[in-house]
Amino acid sequence: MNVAPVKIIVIHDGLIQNDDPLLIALRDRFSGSQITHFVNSNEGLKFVLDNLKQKMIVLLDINFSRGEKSGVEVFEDIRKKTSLVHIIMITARNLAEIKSDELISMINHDALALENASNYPEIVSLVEKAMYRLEVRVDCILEEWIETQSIEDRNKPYIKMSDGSQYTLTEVLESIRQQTGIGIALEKNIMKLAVDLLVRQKAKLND
Amino acid sequence: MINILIACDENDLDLGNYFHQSYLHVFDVLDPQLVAVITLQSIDCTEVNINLHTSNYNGNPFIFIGLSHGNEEQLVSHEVYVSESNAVSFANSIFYTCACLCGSSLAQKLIEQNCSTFVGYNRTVYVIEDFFDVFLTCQNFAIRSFLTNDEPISVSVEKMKGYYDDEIDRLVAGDINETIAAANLVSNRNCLVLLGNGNLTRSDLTNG
Repeated sequence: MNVAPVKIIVIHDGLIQNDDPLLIALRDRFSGSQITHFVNSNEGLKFVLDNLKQKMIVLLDINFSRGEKSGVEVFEDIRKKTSLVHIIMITARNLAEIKSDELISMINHDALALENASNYPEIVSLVEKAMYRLEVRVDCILEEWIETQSIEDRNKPYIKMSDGSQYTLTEVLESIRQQTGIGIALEKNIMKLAVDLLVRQKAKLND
Repeated sequence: MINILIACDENDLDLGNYFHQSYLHVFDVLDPQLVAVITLQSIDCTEVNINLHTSNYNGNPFIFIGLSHGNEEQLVSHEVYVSESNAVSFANSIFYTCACLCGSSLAQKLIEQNCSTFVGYNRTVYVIEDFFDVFLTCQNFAIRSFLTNDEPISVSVEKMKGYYDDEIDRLVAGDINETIAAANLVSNRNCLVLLGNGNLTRSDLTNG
């Protein structure tokens, strides 16, 4: 598994810059150049949104100072734009202390992995699992490929249906990120292809 | 002679060129010594015209090929030209279409009105822009095979699925763009249906 391209973005105002045990544990396991720490949630969000072509894992605190977006707001803003980012919420709070609408939002976006910031081994383990998921998820692979296409190619009609609808790659990309219509349909078709190849014993396994 | 009625919505803004290329691909195998073809282009694809031409067949068997958009209940060009209201016009026909979604409800209504055989798709049909030729070759495979071999239509459809498989395997060996095309061919192949009499052969449709 090639983990080098994945960035780990820590957005947390309760960690000691550079010397926090969690940051040290992450640097011990991964390359230091992969890890970037923001104490301000707005700045962290901007960095993520400015680097959407980059696969990222975001370790995100839930509570921030007044005037900054909350962790859940940052989470929702990221999820509107991309599925290439895997988000792990970090909080010392118990589930019961989190507002129900915030919990529902996180559950609906399939990214609820709550951990206490002091539980370093578990957080490092979650990051490892997230890296693997980013490598194998169909939506991430599709999104990654579309991002490599030229602007001109992305804005040409790409897929048409005999029910009268058609989509450009830009529209497909948006749909993948929003997990709607054509995006889901394309992901399903790719899964059908994989199953079809397996069933017909044509799958070529790579090590 | 085998009577063939083709409706082609070549003026459709999205897929008109695809429908036209599909038409030419079918037309390419039609032997004028063996078949009598009537083609309805976009402007003529109306329920009135369909009913007029099918009534001229006087109840004799014929093949209808619909190259247009569709939905669960209809085939559509600039207007609806096949639906439950004129399903009876397709009695004794082989009804062959590339339209989306019509392989369940509309197909059932056609069969109830004595359409002999329906071949089409019961879910959304996908076409990838850069692979028009691949998609239309798959889509037309069964009717071309049926018209050029004296074989049951069910055999033609099974051969068509095999051709889909071959194209899927060929594309999947390529780049991701080809893999996505292959994925959509899988989806199209999986929603291909044959309803009604699968035993009809070309000889069974020959009149006079």
